[in-house]
Amino acid sequence: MVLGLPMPSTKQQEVLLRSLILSLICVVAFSTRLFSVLRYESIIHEFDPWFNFRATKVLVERGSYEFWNWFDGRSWYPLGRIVGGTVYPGIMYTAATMYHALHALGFNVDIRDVCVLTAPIFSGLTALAAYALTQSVADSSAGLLAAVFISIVPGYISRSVAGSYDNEGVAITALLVTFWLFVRAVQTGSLLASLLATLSYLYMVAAWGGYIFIINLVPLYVLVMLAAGRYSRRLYIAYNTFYVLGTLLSMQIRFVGFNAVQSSEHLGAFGVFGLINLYAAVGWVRSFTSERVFRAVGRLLVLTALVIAGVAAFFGTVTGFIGPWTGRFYSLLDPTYASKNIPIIASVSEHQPTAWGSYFFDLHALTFLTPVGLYFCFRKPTDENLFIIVYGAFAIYFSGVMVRLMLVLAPVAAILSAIGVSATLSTYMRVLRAPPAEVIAAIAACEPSAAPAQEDDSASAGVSPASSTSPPSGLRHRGTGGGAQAASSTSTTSTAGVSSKRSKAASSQARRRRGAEDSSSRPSPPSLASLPPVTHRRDVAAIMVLGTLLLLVLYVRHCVWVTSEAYSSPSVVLSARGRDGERIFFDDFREAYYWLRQNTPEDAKVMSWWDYGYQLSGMANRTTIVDNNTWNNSHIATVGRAMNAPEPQAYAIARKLDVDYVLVIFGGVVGYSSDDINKFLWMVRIPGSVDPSVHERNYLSDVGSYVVDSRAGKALKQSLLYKLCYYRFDEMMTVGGQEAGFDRVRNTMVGVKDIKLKYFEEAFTSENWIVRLYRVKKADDMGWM
Amino acid sequence: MVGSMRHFLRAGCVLAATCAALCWSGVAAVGPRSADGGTILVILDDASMRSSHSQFLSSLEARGYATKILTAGDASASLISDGEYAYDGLFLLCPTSTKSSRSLQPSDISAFVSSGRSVFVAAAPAPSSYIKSVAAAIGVVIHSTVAIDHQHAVSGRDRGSHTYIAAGGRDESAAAVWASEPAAVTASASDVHFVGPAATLAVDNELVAPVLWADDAAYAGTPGSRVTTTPVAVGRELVFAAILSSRRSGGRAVYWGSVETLANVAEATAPAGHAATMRALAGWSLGERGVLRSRDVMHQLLGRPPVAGEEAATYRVRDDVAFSLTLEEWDGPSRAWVPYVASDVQAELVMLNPYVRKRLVAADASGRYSAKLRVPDVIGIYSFRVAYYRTGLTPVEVTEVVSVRPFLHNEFERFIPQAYPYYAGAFSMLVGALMLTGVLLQS
Repeated sequence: MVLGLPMPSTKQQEVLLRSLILSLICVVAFSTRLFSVLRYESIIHEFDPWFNFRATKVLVERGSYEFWNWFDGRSWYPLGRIVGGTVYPGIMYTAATMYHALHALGFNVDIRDVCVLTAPIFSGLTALAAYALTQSVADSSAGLLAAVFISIVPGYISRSVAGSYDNEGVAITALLVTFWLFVRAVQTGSLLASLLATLSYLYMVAAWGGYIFIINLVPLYVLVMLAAGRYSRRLYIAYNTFYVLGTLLSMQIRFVGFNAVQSSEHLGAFGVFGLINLYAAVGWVRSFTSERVFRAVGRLLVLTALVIAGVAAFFGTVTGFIGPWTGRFYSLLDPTYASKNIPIIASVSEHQPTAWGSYFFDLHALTFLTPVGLYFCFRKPTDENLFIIVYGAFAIYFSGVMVRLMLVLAPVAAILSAIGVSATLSTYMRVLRAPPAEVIAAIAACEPSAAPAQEDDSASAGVSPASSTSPPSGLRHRGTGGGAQAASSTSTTSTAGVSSKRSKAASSQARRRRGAEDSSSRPSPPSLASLPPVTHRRDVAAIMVLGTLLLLVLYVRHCVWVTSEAYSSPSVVLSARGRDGERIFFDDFREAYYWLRQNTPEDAKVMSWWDYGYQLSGMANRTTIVDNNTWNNSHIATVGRAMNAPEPQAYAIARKLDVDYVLVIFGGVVGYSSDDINKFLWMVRIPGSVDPSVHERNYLSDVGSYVVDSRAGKALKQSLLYKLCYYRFDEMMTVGGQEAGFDRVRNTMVGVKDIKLKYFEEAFTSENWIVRLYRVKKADDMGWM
Repeated sequence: MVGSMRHFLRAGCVLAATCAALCWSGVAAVGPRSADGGTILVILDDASMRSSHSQFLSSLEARGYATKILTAGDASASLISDGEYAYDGLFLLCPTSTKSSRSLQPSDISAFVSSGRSVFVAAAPAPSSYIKSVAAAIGVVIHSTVAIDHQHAVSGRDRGSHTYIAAGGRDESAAAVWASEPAAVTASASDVHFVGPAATLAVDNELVAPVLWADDAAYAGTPGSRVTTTPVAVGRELVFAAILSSRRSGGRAVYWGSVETLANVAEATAPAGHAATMRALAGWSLGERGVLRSRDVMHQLLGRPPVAGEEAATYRVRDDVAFSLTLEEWDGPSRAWVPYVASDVQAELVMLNPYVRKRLVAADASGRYSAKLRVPDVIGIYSFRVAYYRTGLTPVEVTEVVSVRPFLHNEFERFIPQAYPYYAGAFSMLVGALMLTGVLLQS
């Protein structure tokens, strides 16, 4: 207006404001993930990202066909790995596309920087997707809150900081986009929306094995809808399109292939596909038959379908056409399954059941706000709300089974919390904003009518979540469309939300119908006399609003703190606080990997525990025996056997595998606790599951505890790993006041001093002894060892 | 020296050679086989042995070698002069002298052999600790007892202690050891006379092999004392002569336990086979027979011209591959490499275990061996491996690493008969959909 521009209308202002907020959210989501770059450097993190990075380089340098046919002879020596067929290529193609696009525009960026920043870029998109999904489910103010929540929720940040170049970083975006589009499809019955959901699903399948979550959650939702009697043509169109096209498209991903129709993890979706068609067929038959004939036909139809399904499932399982249930799936249903039966799965720390503390750590306020959101969703169960409810329940259960799936819970927790907070805030804000007289008038006007007064609603909704005492069940009724809003000339009585201006005629009509049914079955509101006086109500509202704001501020503080302190470490470079609070960096990993790279023959084979395989091939560029793609259990068991066997046997295995160097991680000098000694029992259990001569008992002390001091089990003291870790350790002073050879991780004196090696010789030990490399001796020219 | 340097470079390149064009590992360089004999350093216990062992010493010169004879403790006895090895062979005929030159320590001698040169060590009933340690360096453990055989004492030479005995057996399969003396080929073990310590082989050396040993009646003991404990070795465990052929360089070491029976007088009283056997051992140690080398190791897809680079080291499953190499033997008398032809050379294709094992056949007398083999239907990193270990021959070890990859996406057949029902299904579906659309639009 100062510049002479016309004053935008309220609606335009709102759109402008919303876009501004959303873009700010994207900026926040991006920049909060840059802690890792600022604090450390632009480096690929952890383990799996190193493989993704290496694969991306192959894709960028050698092209798509070479990547597709890539047979990697430098990992899993001597078995090799068909990478092209055993990889989810989504993230590599994403980064490669960005890389090529930037180069086409003339920005000569390094592929590493593109990879480092992929996850932060996608986290901005995730925030937008969360906004879209929440807006479809509730309203746009909840959507904005959801976008804020998800942009900084630690459970998601943990997998998407800069440098964390992993599948999950882009997959969560695809997950939310798929859900959003599917919800839109169910909402509108649009074939196009369903088709777009399918395309998004294709991207998800290409990006992450967690697509299994979608292909099970969507059918489950459909099942719930059928059970709840909410079958509709819209649902029919949305699901059938999604299932058929989604399955066909997912089969195009080489790693999935025929699993999409054969593996039992996909059978649920197929079953629901059959069921919904059966349901539709039954409805169709019913439409033109009498009740008696229909019963007979219906019974016949159902029985035939069941028999066919049963026979097909039986033969499919017996002939092996339908894949066996994989262990990872069993461990989802029974958290103790894997640890009992499959040590390789149980050994991965991110497959452990979640501890209670990590819920608060990863979700903070969302832990408490999620039930609030669930409450609001249950208050007005629509098709869209049901989806969020099912997603929430599903995700909460699975997050308890596996730490890793906290990642799937985080988005829905953000969405539910946003719905809860938005509903709470909007009711209280309305109380605060309305002048007292009008409120009274509004109440007075509404009181005799059957429609509930919004103040009643606000009071009830306000009390229940924040104080979380005594949910006032007597006051539970739908209400956002109540008196005051009607007075402010919003004609819709839909449940869709406070500021909803949507005019989707068909869908809102359907919702209105349902809303009317809902409200008609509610108990009548209590009398006004039982509520607190109006002035107190304003105080309560003010306190509630302030309290919520405080909670949100604390949430932001917590998220930023967690991001900066816990989730930004690349784990390739370690850091610790020195005595005066200064940061000390331990760069031992790269020191050792670069040593390997520069001092060993190009084709040297390095044996290490599988955790370090990806880093070895990524940073040291040397052939590895096993790596983090744990596809061959017995090969890992062989390496584990070499580690837990006495030196001569270990030497025989190492020679058989043509090993030139052995790498062990040892934290005893600086107190780095995730070292190989602490992982050692897995190097016993995994071989023990293959080789019956390996007994865990032999590696434990007399009283059955795992110790490394003089009480250590005999087999442990003789094992190669123990020797390689503690070789010459008794010459090392680690803690003042203790003798040399004091292990700072286990806080104990090393059990065996003066360790002698016969078949291995020390080649390199990093500055802080974290990485130790040994050369495997070969018989010399004269035939001597 | 240049040769040995080249050897070291080559040895480092053996694995890397897969990346080299044409997959040559070229000539696996073997020792400094000079065209004109060479010089041998002989160390004697004392000067009197020059005359007492003159026949044996002169037989070395008869083979075309120059000899430099010194007595033990001579300060000028040094294998190296001006930073290079000055000799091609070392004969230690000084079993009892305790003094040794500073440059003749066991580790020096090991290095000397590893460089492709020769060592001949002779022992005696009570050898010095120096000789024991030199013997230990070539894989022979000398005990403090002596070999006694009450049934095969050599009458006339033995003085009643039954320590001057005839050998009980020899390794007939090690033909290369005896081949340098025609008389030794036909000689029998009992022709060989021996007076010396009880010796056995070291367990952790994989190359040392016995070629002459005691009769089953022999045992390790002390003359004149009763046997009260189990002897450290009995019968064939008592090694009289052992040989070691170094792995890559073609260097050689021979242990012979009895310096006394190398003397003129001993050779004169023993059967003719004895002296011939001793000459054969000396000749073998100097590399006259059985030094092998491999060259021109190649593998290539059948029917495909050789390609360079990474391609060359990559095969597809079920490819038919030709593997070939040339084996040559050093012919001592003519001082030249000649083709080595045998019928027992094998090539393996190994990934953890040998998947394919094929006999390498020499088509003609050129020493060029080849085998056609089919790559197994299992992907992985394989090694073509030839491990030709024969007593008396230089071990031939060849390893060529290749990747075996699966079919590429465009290497499958485009149309297969089994799929015609599916093609028909797909096209009939298309037609059906079109027709249905037409019908619906019309109605």
